[in-house]
Order: sequence, then structure tokens, then C-alpha cells
Amino acid sequence: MMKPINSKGAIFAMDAMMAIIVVFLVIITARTQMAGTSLDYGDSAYAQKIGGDIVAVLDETGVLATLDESAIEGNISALLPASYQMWAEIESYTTNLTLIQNITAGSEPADDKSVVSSRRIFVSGDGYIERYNIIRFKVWAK
Amino acid sequence: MPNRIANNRGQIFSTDLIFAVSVFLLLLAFVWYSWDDLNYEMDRKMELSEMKQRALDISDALAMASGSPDNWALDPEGANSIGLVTLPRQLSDEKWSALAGMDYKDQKGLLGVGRFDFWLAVKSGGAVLNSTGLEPAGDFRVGIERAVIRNGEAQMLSLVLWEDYKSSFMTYDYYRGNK
Repeated sequence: MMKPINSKGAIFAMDAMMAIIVVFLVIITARTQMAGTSLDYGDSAYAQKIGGDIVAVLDETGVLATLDESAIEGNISALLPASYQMWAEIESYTTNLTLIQNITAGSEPADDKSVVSSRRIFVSGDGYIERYNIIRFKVWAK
Repeated sequence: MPNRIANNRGQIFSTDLIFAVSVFLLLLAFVWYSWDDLNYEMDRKMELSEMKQRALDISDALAMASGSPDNWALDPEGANSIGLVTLPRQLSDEKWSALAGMDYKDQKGLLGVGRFDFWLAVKSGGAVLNSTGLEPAGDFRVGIERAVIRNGEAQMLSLVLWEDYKSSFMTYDYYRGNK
């Protein structure tokens, strides 16, 4: 006669355990999602603007056209917000599209980073177009 | 004998019940706290996300647009919206001075910062050259920095949106007290 009562208790206990486990799973999953390290929309939009602004400003102030690796790297560092990093690569072509120079600034991002990337084409020369250049860049949060 | 058995049964049942209820209440309290903590974090994250988006929109308007009308700096009171550039990323000293000369309330209205407060600065090499708005108080803030050109030199337009806990819905947290 005692067994049925004990069994009922065990079922109630299991039921309660399952309910608690489900609640914990929900909380843990939500917390894990919230603590995700990937860039959210605002972060990636900002990273895109950072890269676009810096490259445009360096182009318009003539820094890119110097094709001076240290000057470009120094200016990028000066204009980059503290919590972001940037890598850039410039390919420089003659007017008949022969690659003659390759410049990089910064170090490439680690594989686990969420990165935004883009490129811009600019020309350089002393009074006339001597070279066509492509700058490709990546920006990511530290 | 029958009375004893009945008494013992009642005592065992009570101890068992008290233990079970205690464990249940402890777990319930823990779940309640965790759930509340999660809600708090979500509120904070959503608020930050809204601030980020608004800060990005405002920085776009300031660094990429000339405002409405184009020459609003000549008559700041007649401005419909504010931009600080003549061409994208070409900062205008005249427009900066017109914005800096306004009342804080007018600045807020034209920038569209809503319930947040703001601080806007032009920096070069980390040094603040000009600033307007209210300096941020507290750590609930979002900072946006945009590279701009001013008089041929690369500088930074820095915008901080911030909210004072004392006047926000996060002033008082029912479970943790004042922040």
C-alpha cells in the first residue's frame, strides 16, 4: 500500500526538477546569447563608418597618395577610436594596370573577430594621374 | 499505540514538508533573482542599442550633411536641422560656432537626442580643441568618433550620448537599490 504513495512523490519531484531545469536552461541560454562577442548591428555599422571616414579623410588630405607606409599607418592610428583596430592594404598600379607596389598597414584580425571590410579606389600623381590605387581595409572591435 | 503512530506520522510529514518547502523557496528565490537580473541586463542592452543607433544617426547628420537650410549658420534660430559640414566630412568653423552659441535645449532639439544628454567635441591628437553640450556624468554612455577634415587637417568629431541614472528609469532598481 505504501508504494503508490512513494511513486507519486517521485513523479512530483521529477516534475519539479524538470521545470527548474527548463527555467535554468532558458536563463543560461539567454545569458549566453546576450554575452555574445559578435558585433551587433550598431557596432558593425559604426565599424563601417570608421573605416570609410578614415580612408576618405586620408584620401582627401593627400596622405594616401603619398603611398608612404609609415605616414599612412601613423595617420590611421591617430584617427582610429581606441576600442577598434584597422588593417589596410594598398595595391598601386601604373596607368597600364601593372601592379608595382603593395603596402600594408596594421596587422590582420584574428579569425574569431567579426570584421567589416570595404575598399576605395584613388589616384595619385604629381599634377597628372601616375597611378591607380586600390585600398582594401578591415575594421573590427578589439 | 495508535495515537503515537498518528503523532509520529504527522511529525515526519511536517519535517519533510518544511524541508521540501524550504528547498522550493530557495530555488524559487534563485530563479526569481536570475530572471530579474536577466531582465535588467536586457533593458540595459536595449537602452544601449538605442543610444548607439541614435548616436550614429546624429553623427551622420553632423559629419555628412550640411543641415537645413544649407546656410543655417547665418540664422541659427531658423534652422530645421543641423549639419556641421559644407561637403561630407569637411567641417565648417562657421557652423560649429553657430551650434556652440545656441542654448543647450535648442541644441538638443535640433540634434534630436531625445531624452539623452550629449557632449560634442572636436579633437586633434587626443586633445579637445572645441566642445559644446554637457560633459558626460555616470558610465551609461555611448561615444562615437568620426574622422573629419577641418582647415585641411584631419581631426576627430567626437559625440557622446549619455544618460544620468538619477533621472532615468534605471535610477532605482527595485531589487538592488540605487545605482
